[in-house]
Amino acid sequence: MKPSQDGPFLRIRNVVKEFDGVRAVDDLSLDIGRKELFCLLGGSGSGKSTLLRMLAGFEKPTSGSIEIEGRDMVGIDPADRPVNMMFQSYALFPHMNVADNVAYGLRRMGMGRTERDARVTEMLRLVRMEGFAARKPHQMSGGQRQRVALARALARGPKLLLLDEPLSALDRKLREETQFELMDIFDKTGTTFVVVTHDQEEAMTLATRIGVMDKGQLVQVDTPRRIYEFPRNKLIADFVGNVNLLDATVTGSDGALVRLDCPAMGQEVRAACEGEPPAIGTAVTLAIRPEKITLGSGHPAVVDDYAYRGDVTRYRLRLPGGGMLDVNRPNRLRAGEGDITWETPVLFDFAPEGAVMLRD
Amino acid sequence: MLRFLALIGFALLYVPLLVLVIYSFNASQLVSVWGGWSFRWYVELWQNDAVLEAAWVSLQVAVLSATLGTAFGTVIGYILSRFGKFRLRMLFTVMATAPIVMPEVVTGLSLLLLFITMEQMFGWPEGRSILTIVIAHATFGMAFVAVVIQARLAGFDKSIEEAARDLGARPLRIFMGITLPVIAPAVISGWLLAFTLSLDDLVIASFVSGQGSSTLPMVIYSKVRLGVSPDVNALGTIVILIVALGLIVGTQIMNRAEARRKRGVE
Repeated sequence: MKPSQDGPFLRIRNVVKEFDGVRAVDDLSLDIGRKELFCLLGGSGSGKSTLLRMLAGFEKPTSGSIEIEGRDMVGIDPADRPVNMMFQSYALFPHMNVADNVAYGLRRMGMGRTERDARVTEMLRLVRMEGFAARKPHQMSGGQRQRVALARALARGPKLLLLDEPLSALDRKLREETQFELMDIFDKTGTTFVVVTHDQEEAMTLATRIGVMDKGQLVQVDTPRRIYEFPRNKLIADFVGNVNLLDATVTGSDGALVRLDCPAMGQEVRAACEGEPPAIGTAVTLAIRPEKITLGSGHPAVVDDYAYRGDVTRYRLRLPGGGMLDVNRPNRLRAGEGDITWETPVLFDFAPEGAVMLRD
Repeated sequence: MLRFLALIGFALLYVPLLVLVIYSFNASQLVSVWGGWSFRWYVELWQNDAVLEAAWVSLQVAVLSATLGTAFGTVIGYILSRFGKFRLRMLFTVMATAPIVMPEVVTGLSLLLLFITMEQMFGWPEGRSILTIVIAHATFGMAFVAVVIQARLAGFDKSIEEAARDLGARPLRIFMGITLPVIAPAVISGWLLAFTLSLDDLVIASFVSGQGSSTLPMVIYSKVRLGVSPDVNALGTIVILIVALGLIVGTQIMNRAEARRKRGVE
């Protein structure tokens, strides 16, 4: 079959994977373009790892097809795919030093010694581990092992690199630094990356596009910005970041906005709406992120609780119609003991464009 | 109280051995009379051709059967722990470990019958010899090694095998180049276990040995039946020494590998 250059780089069509009759991946279709950094985001048991393992070839789809550049991958051994994987545990060979680990895949290609040595050096430079060629895995820190694992996975020059929770084993500070390095390496190699993660922050920082998975299906595929600002449903809004979800009923429309009756707020509010607004009387959900709400004017409420977090203070407001509303207030001045405390009556407001109506 | 009970247990195990070791240095001709310290029985042993020959047979049998048993046992342990759910897996697991609990008389007798039948049908193996003892010992050595390897592989990070496959390696190369080096300490201690078990065995060897292929335990046993002579004590002491050495080295290798693994994983 001639590889089609105009089709998507990676084409997943109607893939199903069953384990003992249980569907881990349920009729999933997805196109990923060349040089994308695609993040599969989902909780445990969402099927994201199973999908990744099918791309690597460790699992065979029960049905459906996986094509890379128009070539069907189903039935092709992992050893023969233009795909490499970086494992969550890094899976470095404990009895080999760093250079031999990185060279392992090159040896299997039958690459000559001179060329191989040059490639190993190049890869170690890419991940800034030049001085570690002779180290054994147990002589390195977690962050260093992670880099070696990345170098080893990139050494064969795969068309597609799979990363299984690449940063989950690192502590927070290191994780944040490594995120940027990973993006840098992605830019330099021009390889397509597919990253599996349960960490929404990681997905938001890294990805050009995110696919949110739940129960073996893709619930939404979009840019990080759109996933955050226009989540398709409550599940996504709740999974990605913090959000206030309030029951509401559609009462009309106002240009691009929709008018909602929100009993918890005790009055009519306006919110953004994707596509055509639903019919009047439809039960929907109003979603507002805590950072999109300001204190000082607008609707009345009472402070139920608050938590000082350094950069922001999170207030939990009790609404007149019952229900709670979380509000983040940036601490622009060095905060002393605040003027707002338990049971303080406050006013809050939000721009209608900052709130979004969810259909389910 | 518990400590006391444990001490009694250990005493039951090791006091007899200690007595044996002490009496092996007895200068007296009579087994039960202490006649002062001496190495004479060791010297006598060294001049006893029958004993030396038997020791040589035992050593050959132990090395060969341990090697054969370890090779098969490693592969069996690997397959039982790796190839997830294949049909009759349970049956194979039980079958692989059955020789451990099988009465030795049964094992020995059945092997003897097999060898005789095979000789009648194919003319091989010709009579009973070192070869038949090696085969017999390899079968139960194999069972012990399979258990050791299976236990080791239970805590094995499978993703390193997957990584090798992902990087272009075929199953045989993965096993030889990745799995085997990583589990090497378990393989070595499995070998030492099979080695000492073979050295110890009397019952099975008695069934399947032939003329000129008596093992050391067989010679000791026949000597004892003619009345205990003090050189048997010396012989026993040497066997204890070799077995203890095997056990200590084996445990040491396993412990060190375990410590290294823990450091590696953190």
